[in-house]
Amino acid sequence: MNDLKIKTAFGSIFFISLGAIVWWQSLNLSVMGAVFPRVVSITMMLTSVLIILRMLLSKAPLWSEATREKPKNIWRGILLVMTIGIWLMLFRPLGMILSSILAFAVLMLIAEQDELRPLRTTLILIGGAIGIFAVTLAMTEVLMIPVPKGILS
Amino acid sequence: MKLNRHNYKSKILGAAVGFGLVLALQPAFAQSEDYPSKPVNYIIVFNAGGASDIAARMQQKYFEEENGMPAVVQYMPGGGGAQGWSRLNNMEPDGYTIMGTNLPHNVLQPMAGDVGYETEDITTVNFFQYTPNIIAVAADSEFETLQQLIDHAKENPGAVTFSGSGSRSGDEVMKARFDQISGVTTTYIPFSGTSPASAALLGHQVTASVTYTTEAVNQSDNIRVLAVAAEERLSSLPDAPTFKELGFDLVGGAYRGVGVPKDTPEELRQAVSDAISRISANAKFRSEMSEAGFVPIDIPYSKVEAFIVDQKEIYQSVEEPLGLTSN
Amino acid sequence: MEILGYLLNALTPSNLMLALCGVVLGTIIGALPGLSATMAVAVLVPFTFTMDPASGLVMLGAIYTSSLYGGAFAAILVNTPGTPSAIATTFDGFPMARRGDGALAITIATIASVVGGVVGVTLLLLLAPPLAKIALQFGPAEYFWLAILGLTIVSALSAGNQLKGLTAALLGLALSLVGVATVGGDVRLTFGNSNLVSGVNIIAGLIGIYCIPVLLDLVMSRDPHLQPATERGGFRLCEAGSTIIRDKVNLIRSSILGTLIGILPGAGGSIASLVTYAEARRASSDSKSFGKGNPSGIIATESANNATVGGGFVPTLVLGIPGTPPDAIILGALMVQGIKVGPTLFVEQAPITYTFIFGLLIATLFMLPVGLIIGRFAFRAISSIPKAALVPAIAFLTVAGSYAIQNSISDTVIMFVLGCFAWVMKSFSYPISPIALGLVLGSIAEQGFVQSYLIGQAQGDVLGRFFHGPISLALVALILLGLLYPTFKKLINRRGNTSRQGNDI
Repeated sequence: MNDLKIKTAFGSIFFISLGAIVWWQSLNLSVMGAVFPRVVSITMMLTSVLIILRMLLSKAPLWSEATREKPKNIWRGILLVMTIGIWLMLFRPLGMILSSILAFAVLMLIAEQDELRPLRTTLILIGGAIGIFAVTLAMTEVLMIPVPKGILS
Repeated sequence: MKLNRHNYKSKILGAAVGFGLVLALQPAFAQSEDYPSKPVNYIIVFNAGGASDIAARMQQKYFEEENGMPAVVQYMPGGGGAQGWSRLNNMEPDGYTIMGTNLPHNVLQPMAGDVGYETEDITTVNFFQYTPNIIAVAADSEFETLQQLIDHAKENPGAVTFSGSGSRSGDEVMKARFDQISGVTTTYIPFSGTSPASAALLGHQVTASVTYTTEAVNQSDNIRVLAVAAEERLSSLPDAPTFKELGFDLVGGAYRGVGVPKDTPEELRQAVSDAISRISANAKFRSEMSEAGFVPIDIPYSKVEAFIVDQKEIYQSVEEPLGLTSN
Repeated sequence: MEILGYLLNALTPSNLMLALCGVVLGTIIGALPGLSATMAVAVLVPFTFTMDPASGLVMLGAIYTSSLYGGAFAAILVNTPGTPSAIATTFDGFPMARRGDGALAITIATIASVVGGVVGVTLLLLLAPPLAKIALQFGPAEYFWLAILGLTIVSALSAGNQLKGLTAALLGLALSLVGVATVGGDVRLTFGNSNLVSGVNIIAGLIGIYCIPVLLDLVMSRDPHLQPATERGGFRLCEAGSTIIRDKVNLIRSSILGTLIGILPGAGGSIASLVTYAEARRASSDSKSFGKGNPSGIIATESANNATVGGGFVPTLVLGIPGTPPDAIILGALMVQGIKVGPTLFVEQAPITYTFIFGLLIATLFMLPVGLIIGRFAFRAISSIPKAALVPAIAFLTVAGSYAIQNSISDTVIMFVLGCFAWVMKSFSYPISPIALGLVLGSIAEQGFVQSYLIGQAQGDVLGRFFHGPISLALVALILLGLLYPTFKKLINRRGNTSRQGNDI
């Protein structure tokens, strides 16, 4: 059992359960509304079962293309996801401009893979803040899209 | 960030070339006496180009003339309108965010299931127009009169198909009422909008279509209107008989109004209603609306509640054929 | 020639200026995911009330056509379709940009878009009424098969991994079910959450599925986002030109196919570019390299999606049935101005109609210089700025764009959750583009299916409804051909070459 086999098994189980949930949800729909969900549900469960069967029956080494060529820094990824998550939570209370500038700064630090160079970092930050301000202004004033103003209002 | 700056510059460029920049530097607190003192966001919960949009665009054309401030039409389509309506009460109750409302949608949708809002959540302050339903066939159809269509439907129960816009919509209500009153059984085929429903009619995919007078005006040469569900003939469709003339007591359609978030204070609700009524009183607006197939009405805030109660009674009569009672 | 007189009308300095502004604005709006042609056109409609109707229309048309083109920038440079009709452009555009051929990809996309646009508008000018008749032959059954034809591209996208590709497409279809059903009115798969009532917004979904994995890969690996431009720098116009001339059959076929799909109301650029891509791949002698940076893929999708502009105006102007959402807005603007559409439009309102069509043609030609300049600038910017600036900038545009679609933070949340999920799926070796296909094509397929079923039931012949008429049968034949052709090819190959193919999980 290599890494990909475990992942494939896990993925298939997930989609089988998802198919089951879609089926279960289709039970209290009108006939018209239930046809398509049921087709999707059954096919999804079927393809996932086939994937598992195929994996069990196949003896050849799995998946010719290597999935992991280079070491990845998973922590940066987790930090990125957390930052965007918090950003979305603060989007309304802090307002679009402020929350975005804060998020911009944090994401910049996460993405910086070399040593921090204060001048460059400051320039990027200033450029980012101007860009955020400009896009927000264009959205509110030209495209008439109301954005949360938050504590700056 | 070069991209962003560039984007901004070009937008400003675009704005500067003849379109002007509308700045909203007005105070945040709105007062009802000087309403409106800044541009009003007018949200349409259907796709652009539909009847709701065209009516709103006609209002928009006269909004500034009558009220001194422009209206900005925005779209929030999705879920047959439910998306926008379910968000209405989260919007700012300052009178500068108004939303197109619609009967029977606002009554029928919540009855169908949890769509994110209840009928009571929608605070309509003014109904300004109604669009009568019609029954139409393609111009080259074998059916010349409504009676021929009814006879055919009686001989072949279920075989006559009607295209219409959406499920549990004004169109489906009209089709169900038509079935009840004329004593026939027909099949309703819901489409994603009035235009696709017309396309299906013109392409002979369906026998007939339940649609609106606006679409009849739009498609005048391509379709034949068998009956109009209005009190009297429309000036825009002088040759189309009403159901009443043909002996069926059938009047109905989509009633379109303007709603505000529920926390909007009473005075402000009245102010919004007044602003809409001023447009409705404009003779040019009325004639343009009639020309396009709409029937301009003016039901101000004080009469809205009673009006909704009356309409609800009609919708309750077709709950069963629409499959609403089981929910 | 009376018609040529209208060409001169369109060529007034003010109209040219408006067309140019429209093209610049449209290209940028199209390049930013979340900002759409529909939005830009809707915002500008009120201004056209006070303008000469023809000039207003020229401006709206210019924005519309160039925004479809602008979608290619984000697709090529960031692997995110700026508009749904650029989904298929990501398949080959981004691999090209990665290996340093971004400028070439953009130039090819630009030329293909201009050619596609010109073909579409020319057909609109010459053949509108007969084409509108074809549009009406497309009933629910035909739409259903067309959507299925679009979905067959999944097998191409996931060569050697087709079951997983199909599963991903089914996930996309399931996502398209969420919310109030158009047909039937049921509230589906919302789990009581009112934010889901309107369903998964297609554009928000696309931004998430494509952008978030890009962001995660950017921060998690040390590779640069794009290889820097090669020394051959510049627009690489000659190279692009010769590539396109070599592929002229594909270009013309895709442009015509794009126009034909464009005339179908409600189908639009996304189906057009997907179906065209599938056809280009099948017809190509080098179909294996599709999806790995083959310029033919870009030529097919970009010529097709701009050809839909001219095509879309066919039913809009002739029948009063808008082909796409921006068409609907332009139609509404015409009606508010008191201009009646229909067959008489070309006679009674000839000056406005023809000025508009010529304006569209001029705007399409403007895309060439404007697109090359903006494109080169964008490529330089994206390939040279450091990750520390690129990551937060893309993240901001992702959040702002998904918010802007409907002024709704819940769209942004859906975007983000889907995006993270897509990344996980990708690392589990599920292809993710099929999710986008399922999401985009799901509602068209479902509506066509249920409507055909209901009509068939009323006529007492359900199966016959799905297979009636030459168009349905032709589409079914194309679907079968698309599905069986690779197997057939493989069998032939196997006879000569017994080496085993890669394993299929």
